[in-house]
Amino acid sequence: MRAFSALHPSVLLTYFLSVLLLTMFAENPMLRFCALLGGLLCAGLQPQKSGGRRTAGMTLLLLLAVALLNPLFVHEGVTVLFWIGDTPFTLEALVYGACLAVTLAAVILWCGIYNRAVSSEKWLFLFGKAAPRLTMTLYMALRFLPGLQRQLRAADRAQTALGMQAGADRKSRIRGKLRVLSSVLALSLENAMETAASMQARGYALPGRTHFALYRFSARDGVLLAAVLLLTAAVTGGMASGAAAYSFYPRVTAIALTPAAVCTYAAFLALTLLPAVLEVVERGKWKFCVSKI
Amino acid sequence: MEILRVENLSFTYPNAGEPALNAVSFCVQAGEFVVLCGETGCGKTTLLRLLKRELAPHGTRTGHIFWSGTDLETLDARASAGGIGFVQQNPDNQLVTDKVWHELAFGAESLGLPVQVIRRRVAETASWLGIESWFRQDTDTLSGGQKQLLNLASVLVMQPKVLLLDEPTAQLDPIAATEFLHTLARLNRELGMTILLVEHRLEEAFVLADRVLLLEKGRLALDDTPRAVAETLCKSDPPHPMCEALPSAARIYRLLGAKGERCPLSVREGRDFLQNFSFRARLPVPAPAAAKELVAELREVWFRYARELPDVLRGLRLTLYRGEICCVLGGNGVGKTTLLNVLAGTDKPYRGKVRFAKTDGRRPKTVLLPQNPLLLFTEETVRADLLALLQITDVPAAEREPRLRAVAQDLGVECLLDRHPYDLSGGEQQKCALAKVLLTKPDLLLLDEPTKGMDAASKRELRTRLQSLRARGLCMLLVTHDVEFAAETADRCALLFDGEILSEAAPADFFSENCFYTTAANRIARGYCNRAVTCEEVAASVQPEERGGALC
Repeated sequence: MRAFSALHPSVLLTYFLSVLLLTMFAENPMLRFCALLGGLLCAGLQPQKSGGRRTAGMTLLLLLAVALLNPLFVHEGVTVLFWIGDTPFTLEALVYGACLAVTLAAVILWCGIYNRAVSSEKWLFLFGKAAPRLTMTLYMALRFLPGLQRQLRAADRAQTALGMQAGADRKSRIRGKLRVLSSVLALSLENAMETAASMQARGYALPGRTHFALYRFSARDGVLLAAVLLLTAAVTGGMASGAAAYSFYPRVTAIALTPAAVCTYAAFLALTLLPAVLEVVERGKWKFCVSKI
Repeated sequence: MEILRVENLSFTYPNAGEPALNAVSFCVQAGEFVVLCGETGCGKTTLLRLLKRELAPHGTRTGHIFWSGTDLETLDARASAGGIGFVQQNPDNQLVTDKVWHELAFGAESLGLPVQVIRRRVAETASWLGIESWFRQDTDTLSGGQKQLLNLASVLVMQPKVLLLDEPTAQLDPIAATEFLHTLARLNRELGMTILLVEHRLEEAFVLADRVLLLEKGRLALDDTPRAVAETLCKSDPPHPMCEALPSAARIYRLLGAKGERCPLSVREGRDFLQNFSFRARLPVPAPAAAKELVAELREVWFRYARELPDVLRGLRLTLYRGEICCVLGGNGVGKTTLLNVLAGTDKPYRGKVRFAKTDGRRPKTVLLPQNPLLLFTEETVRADLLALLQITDVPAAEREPRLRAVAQDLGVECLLDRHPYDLSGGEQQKCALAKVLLTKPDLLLLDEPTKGMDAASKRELRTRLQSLRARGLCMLLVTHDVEFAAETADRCALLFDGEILSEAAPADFFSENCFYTTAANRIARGYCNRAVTCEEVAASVQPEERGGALC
């Protein structure tokens, strides 16, 4: 997803906020399926991490459970499929469960995509202008924690090599680890004094701090942001006006196919497919260029 | 043009009897490269920090500091932060952010510069210093030398008029240190940057500097050109403590009686100087040592940190004997620390064997002194820390105090026992850490870069200490970058390269066969007396009647 995640952080954040909120509030199965389809395509285009398949399998199992468990606990709806003892198992509850599972799957997928596209750094950048000092503190915390972890490992190693962690019983082992932890924390604070001096020396205390970042808002970012906002407005309009309304109980309604409803579906599909489309277009360009060389 | 004037500056720390600085006065002209040196505790860091208002220590100060004619007290906050750049010793702790580009921009952000200006300054600084290739990396992934270069660059982005540097190369390996100093020289020559450098690696700094200030117990003892300072020190009688910190060429000059009109400073000048002497044919070869008693042996050891990572040690072979000091030399990332971890038992080789010779059915006790001695301390005072170790290792309560006292006396750390480990100086921390590992009565002592950040006097002290431990039959394995220290201390030197021990010999043979990877003294003496690797050996090779009085 290089093409997509290279966009300006503000575009990315608007996009994910819009897709996630719309997915969560969408009732209509068409909209839910649009979200799932876009998410699947997006995730499919990402380079797979090892263990991705197992996670996908677990998610699928969970979704199946949600779809089947809903009718076991919810007995609304008029179309009874069969009875389990005295309780009815209704078609409406089953459909609702299935739709809920689709939404859940879509949200999980989109959260994963968000995680890979928007690093903490981009997120912090967006708030840097409003609160430069708070952001700076968060940046430092981000750097501090991995450093602390490394220091802990090194200290534990040094102490172990000296035979300080060799206690046979669990109690003395835990005491040994705690001793290392407290000493490393003290050492980190000691080191932090030097960091503070380095910040002072470079004028951290001066008023009127600016915030620098490598991101630049280009015309392309502007066009895409406008597209995202327009599509979001269209979908929200469709949902609010009732054109794409849908209800499960007491009886599942038919999926609306009025022009207004179709427009809403199309807009949402376009929105969710946006990253995949960008990616495919860029890949096509590369393929085209390579074939020309 | 005068850029800095210090007038009659005195400074006393709170609760200290003696003043740290006593009536110091000097001037620095724009574009000068000034080196500030002196023994540990002479007040050089205090002086440097007083020159930077944001970092000035607390205490009573008298006298005046003028920057370009303005009193430091009345200097505008922005001019003070941006105009006077300060680089500290530790490369890691000075970094504030997690990205290289952000670290570069940090100072400019503080000055409140517009983003466009920051962008341009960051870009030009990064390209002038050759940082482009790691511009977008995380700061944690950089080497020590790169980190220190980044610290310098992030100060340069603020476009300072003067650079103050407090032992910036102390924590770097020799190659990175030399590169850093040459970057400073380039800044000075090509941009006319005024530089005030506190340094104890005088080998290179003396050659690069225009002027040297020597502090002695808070007083300015000498203020002259490097050559004149070196000459004065060489002719001092009794020898000034700073003599052993001088460049090798100057030390040889001193040992040969400080005759001749010009004191040599660089290796080339040292070679020219030696032309005036004739040499004895060969140094007397020391008698081969008696049959050696094995302590540990590494047989074809292979190691890597994870299955998919490359091998760090590839079929490494090494034997260690009782009563010897063995130095393993090598560049960064060749597996020196890994070798120690394998011997200490914290890393397990996946192929090959580590064999220990058993005495009385007991495995030799092996301890490791890590590069950062502070990692060993966990308690509030040194004494509590040492006692905690004795308690954990099940030493009977009655024995603890006497054992502690014996070791403390031995290493001369009795006066440090009730201090907090973090409050000690680098050399003192090292001494206390050594006391701690010696409490366990080791047979094999592993030391990781023991001379890092040490000045010449502390190095000499460490050398005598290691030699006295050797006399007691301890085996010591040092891994180090410090070629000079290895040449003066080791019985045996080995080169670790690409995961293997490549050559292994006594220092005289080891270094005289190397062309580049050898001591400055050996490079000076090459062609005159190849087997001399320390300054003392070079001087001893000169025909006795030509030597001056300093060497008897």
